[in-house]
Amino acid sequence: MSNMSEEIKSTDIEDVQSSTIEKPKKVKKGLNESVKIVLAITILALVSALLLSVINNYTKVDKEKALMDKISSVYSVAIVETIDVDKIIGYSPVEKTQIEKYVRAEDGAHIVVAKSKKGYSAAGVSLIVVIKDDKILKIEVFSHSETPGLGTKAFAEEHFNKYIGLSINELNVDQFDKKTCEQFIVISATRSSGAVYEAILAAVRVVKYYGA
Amino acid sequence: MRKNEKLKLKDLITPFTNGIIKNNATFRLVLGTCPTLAITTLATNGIGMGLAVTFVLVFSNAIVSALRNFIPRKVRIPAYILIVATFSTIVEMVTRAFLPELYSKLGLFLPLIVVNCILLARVESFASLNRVLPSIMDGLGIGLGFTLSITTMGIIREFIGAGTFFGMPINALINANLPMVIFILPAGGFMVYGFMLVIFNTIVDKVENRKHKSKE
Repeated sequence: MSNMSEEIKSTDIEDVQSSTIEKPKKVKKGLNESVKIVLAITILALVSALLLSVINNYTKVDKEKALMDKISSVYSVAIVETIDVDKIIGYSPVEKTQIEKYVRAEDGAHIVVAKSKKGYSAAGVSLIVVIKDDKILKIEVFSHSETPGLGTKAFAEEHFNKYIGLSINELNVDQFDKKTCEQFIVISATRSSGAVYEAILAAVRVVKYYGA
Repeated sequence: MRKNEKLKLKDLITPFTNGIIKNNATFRLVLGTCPTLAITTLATNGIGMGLAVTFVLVFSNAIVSALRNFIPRKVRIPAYILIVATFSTIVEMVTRAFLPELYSKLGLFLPLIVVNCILLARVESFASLNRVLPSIMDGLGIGLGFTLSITTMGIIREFIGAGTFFGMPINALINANLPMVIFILPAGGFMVYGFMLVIFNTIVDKVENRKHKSKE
């Protein structure tokens, strides 16, 4: 009996000893692993950030320059003035439309880059509209992501030609005119042609407010 | 494969050919379905998207394979995503700067390459277990297989749906009023995908069966 109790005691002491010895080892091992994990992810993130910043330096896109280049390719007369639309008295943009750029050419033409977000694609439809002597002179697509062969029917020349020569006074820019809108809608490209109409209307609207 | 074992030509060719046919991401593994259905309205979109994925796949596979002993197992997935995200951001930056038209057409699907199942699947199941060169060949094979698949889908959908071939109008088709708009709509995408899945798998299975029989 006494022998047995001695055995138990000795095994207990061994267990206690081994647990007190192993614990710091386990903690150390866990710490080492955590450090290794943090180090690995940090190094990867740093290298990735460095690589991306170098490439960004070479691929940076100057949006303003690209926009001005496109404008000058659409209307070659020299640009003399850039108009800040926020400073036009009484003007506020219509919902889901945006004026990306408004400039005036040397010959008095108004060149407006207007965007409508009502198209089929979330990217919207952005148009360059040239207005001279209160008439729409030229329309060109600046950017879009509409469905090729379907939504792109709204950008066909014959469709744009419906707007060319139209006096800006004929268009009601403050109230949605369903009848006028319907005559510009292209069958099977309803939303895209609607976005084209909205963008042109936004361009005309800003020119009207500027003139007023 | 053991660490010091010499690489044979077969070890490089097999992952490449498997990636194009046997493990074709689009038609055999049915991975990357979202961009496949969304951007194949034009054949050029297919080529653009395919090449972008190939670039990311090759480089991610190479880096993951090279660092497979350095990346701790517990955080391997975040580490792989970080590597894939780096290369997909590079592709996005380069496309935006030099191919703005393609960038606007691919839209959201370009940055979404990060979460493309094909990439994570290959990185996890192949690159993290194999050496650098076979991993590069696997990335190249899978990427080219994906490019070929989605370009073919794009050609079919564009031709039947819009009456154009790589953007060039086929006047005979258009004049006869033959283009069926449904093919460039989502429903048409599913239809073409379904038909191509059946055709591709039937052919590959038949060839595989014939191979097995001849071996026996």
